[in-house]
Amino acid sequence: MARRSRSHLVFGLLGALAMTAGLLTTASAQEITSQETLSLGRADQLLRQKAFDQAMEELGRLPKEFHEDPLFRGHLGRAAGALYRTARRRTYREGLAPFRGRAAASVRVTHRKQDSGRNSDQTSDNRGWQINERLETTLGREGRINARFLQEADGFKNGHRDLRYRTLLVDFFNGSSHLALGDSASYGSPYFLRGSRLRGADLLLRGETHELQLVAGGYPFWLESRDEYIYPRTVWGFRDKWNLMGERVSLGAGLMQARDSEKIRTIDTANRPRDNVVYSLEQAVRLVPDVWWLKAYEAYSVTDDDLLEERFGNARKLKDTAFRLESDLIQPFLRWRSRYERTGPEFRLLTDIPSGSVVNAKGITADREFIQQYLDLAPLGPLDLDLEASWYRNSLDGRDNVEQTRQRWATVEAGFLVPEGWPKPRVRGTATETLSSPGSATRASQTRTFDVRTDLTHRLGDWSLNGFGTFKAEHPLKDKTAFDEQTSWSAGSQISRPLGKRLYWTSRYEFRFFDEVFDETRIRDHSDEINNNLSVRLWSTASLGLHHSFLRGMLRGTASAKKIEANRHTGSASLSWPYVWTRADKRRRLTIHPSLAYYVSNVTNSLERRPMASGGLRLAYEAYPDWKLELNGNFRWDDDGEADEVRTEESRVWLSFTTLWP
Amino acid sequence: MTFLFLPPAFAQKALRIGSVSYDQHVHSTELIKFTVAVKNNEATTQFAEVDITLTNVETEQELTLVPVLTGNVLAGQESVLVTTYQNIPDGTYTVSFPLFDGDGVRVDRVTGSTPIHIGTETETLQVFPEVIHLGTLPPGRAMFPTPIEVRWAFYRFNRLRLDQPFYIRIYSDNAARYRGVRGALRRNSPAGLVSADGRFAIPLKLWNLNYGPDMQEGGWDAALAGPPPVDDDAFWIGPELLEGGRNLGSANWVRIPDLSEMTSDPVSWRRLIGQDPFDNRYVSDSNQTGDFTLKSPFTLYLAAEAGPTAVEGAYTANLVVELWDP
Repeated sequence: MARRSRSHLVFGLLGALAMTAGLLTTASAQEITSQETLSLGRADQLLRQKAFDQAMEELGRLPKEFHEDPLFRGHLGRAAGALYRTARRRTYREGLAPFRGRAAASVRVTHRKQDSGRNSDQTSDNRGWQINERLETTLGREGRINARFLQEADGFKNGHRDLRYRTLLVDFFNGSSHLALGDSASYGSPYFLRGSRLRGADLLLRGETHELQLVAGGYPFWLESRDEYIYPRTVWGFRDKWNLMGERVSLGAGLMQARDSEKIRTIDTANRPRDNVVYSLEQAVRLVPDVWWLKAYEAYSVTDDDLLEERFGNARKLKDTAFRLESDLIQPFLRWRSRYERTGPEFRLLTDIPSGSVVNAKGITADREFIQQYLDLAPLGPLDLDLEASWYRNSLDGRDNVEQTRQRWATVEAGFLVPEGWPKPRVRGTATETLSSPGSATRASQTRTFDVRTDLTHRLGDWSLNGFGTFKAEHPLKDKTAFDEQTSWSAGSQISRPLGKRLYWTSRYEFRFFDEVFDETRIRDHSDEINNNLSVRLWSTASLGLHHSFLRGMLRGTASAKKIEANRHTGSASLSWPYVWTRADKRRRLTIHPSLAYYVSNVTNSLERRPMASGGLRLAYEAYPDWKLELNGNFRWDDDGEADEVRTEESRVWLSFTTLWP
Repeated sequence: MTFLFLPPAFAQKALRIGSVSYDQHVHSTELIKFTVAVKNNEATTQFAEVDITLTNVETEQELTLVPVLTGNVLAGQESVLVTTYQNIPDGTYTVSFPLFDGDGVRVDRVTGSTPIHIGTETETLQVFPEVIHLGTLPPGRAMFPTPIEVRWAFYRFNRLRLDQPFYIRIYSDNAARYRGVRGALRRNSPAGLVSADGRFAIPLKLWNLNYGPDMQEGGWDAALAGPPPVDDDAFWIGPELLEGGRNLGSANWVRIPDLSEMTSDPVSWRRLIGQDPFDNRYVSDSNQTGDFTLKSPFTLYLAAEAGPTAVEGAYTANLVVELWDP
């Protein structure tokens, strides 16, 4: 991969997080025979098909001594849990079954207070209140047309009353067919709505062989998270899809138009009202049922990129295509997945932009090509091989003055199947070629990177042993006179084992070497690091973690290398006391769950000492299944005495009430 | 006789700025060159003065560069005024070009389309804390209450002095330790936490301010209320779809992949933040530059679900946070 190796190694020192979740000790597992494997496999398959009754029967065939196996218990938990959920009365927000006259309402009041130093923890600000409200009612009965009403609102934010509807929906449905009026979201096909929210009418008729969708309405979007304006965009479209030959072939076509109101210019003259029409086709073919399927999607878009300019005879029409092909072949000896995607530089899909979503990544990238091949082969003798290759390229037609990133990537992952009880080797090699033109001013615009990782893992009784090695080399393919090759390698080991029933110990050692040029000076040097981690299960769900690391040697920085020698001590404690009281008839339940977490880190040579503490309390009272009252409170304190800007005090409380009628 | 009355917006200005140009990224010690094309629509030569004004994005302090840019523009002609400045304090500045005539009256003003970034090349990444003990996972979903803080600095530019793309991504590196259950038909992903014997895994999810729809759609104002509740499926799995199921792409809590699942396509990565003006994936009506960055430091929260199929044991993970630029 073409990344800056220096930053990577800096992070290798500073950013690698070793985590331990100290659960209870692992239950001893039975060895599995082939018949039992088949039974488990069938149960697994039935679970995937949601045939929970049959899965339970299949699990029941296994001998009793097998019932302690975690895999068996996992499958049993899934099957029994699903059967339980379908059998019991639904409640709260888990979804209302179409019973006559059911209603569920919930109100959540949140208060937050935060006091943080400048530039510290910008995740949130210190504004105070939020109220969320949700009401859902369902009318009708099974087999007939049902109606569902959903309304959500939130307000009292930012110290003033800001109550406006977020979701208002009336949905008439029968089976999987819907007539939705209000705010709804659906995912018709990749070049249709893609899960975006529509405010208007959405008709979806579904049968065994035919699927029809009609949408018409507004498509509200916001330019900022707290924008006081809602920018109108009208949308209408339809999609028709046929399932033929016993669902072995599906053919569909769609049309979608989105048009902005020209009034958005009155809000900001920089806003460009646009008009966009997208014609799309879709095909799905099961060439061999359960073995090989193909899917294809094609689209052609016509976009008027600025409606106002058109008035003056200066229209900017964009016309382009996009398509996507997918294939998946599953055989006992291999799985082969392929994907090819190409989006033209002037292809647009305005309905892909989620209403109000400011930061989530969902836009179709224009001017792009992507190819991926993934081949997972069944073990061939002692060799277990996975092959993967992918390639993506931006700026297909090169119209931009800056060509975009292009990358090729091939990965070979090989495992060697050795007899049971032998150390297990695995090798992963990746070659990456990156072209970034005109490229960074401080690195070659075209590079080839080799990244190799090897592992040897072994389990000896309670001991888990792992030896590893890495090698990385980056070769400039252009600008060779200005940039040099960089190499680095490391080797190390990790050992872990339980110490009794309550302690778990992990130790890791790593030696790193690098060879790189800084300011025309070649540096070859090394560093090594040792980590020891001990996690202790105290009582109930309380636990303690202790960590020590020692680091010394030469470290690569951004533009130089520097020598370091430091000890870091880390301690953390996590305490919680869940208490649940249930009345004899199971219709009343009280939950009290206080928790406390403390973390402190201390580095010897930098005087860095940073403690953090957080606490929480959850109180819940359920009158099952009629109503539920829940109070959640959290507190966090984080203070780095050496850095003024690192300081946060935060508290958050929310109270929610949920009820169900009748 | 015909009188033609033009509204003020269409009246021709005596002096106006045709275009401006400057480098988007400049080293601290480098000369910054500004080029301003001024058009004179008068019948006589006009004096023009451009007071180039920088506004620091962080401190909002204004800085007018002196000596100001001046020149005479011939009647009906366009003149290109050029000047250079040096030793401007490091920072990111928006740029405006107010134009004054010979009487000191402001006659035009243009704002630069991109800010100027003055600084020295840097590329750092720090994560705190580096070792996390998640404690005992209770049944069901649980959020780790202490956030992880990521401090970053990235100042690099390409050979056209435009933004150099970069991403900060996160993944687990567990593939070598994960063995899976022998004889199982389906091989699960090693992403997340892996049990000591390598047979089982518990997926990890994360949330930061970049994930999830905003309050208008999701009803949860993350900037106010912090991490969305993990118990609510709308945030944990995704908002409901009309045809059933949920829109997985709009979930607030997103899965952390394993290195063995990632390809060259950045879509397969879990990007915490990033900037890539050449990738339109983050471009939308509300984010026309595709900016996906958060100021340093930003925080992320981890959560895990110990469901009915979770197996007792000690679980560990190596999580890597990495800064990548092509």
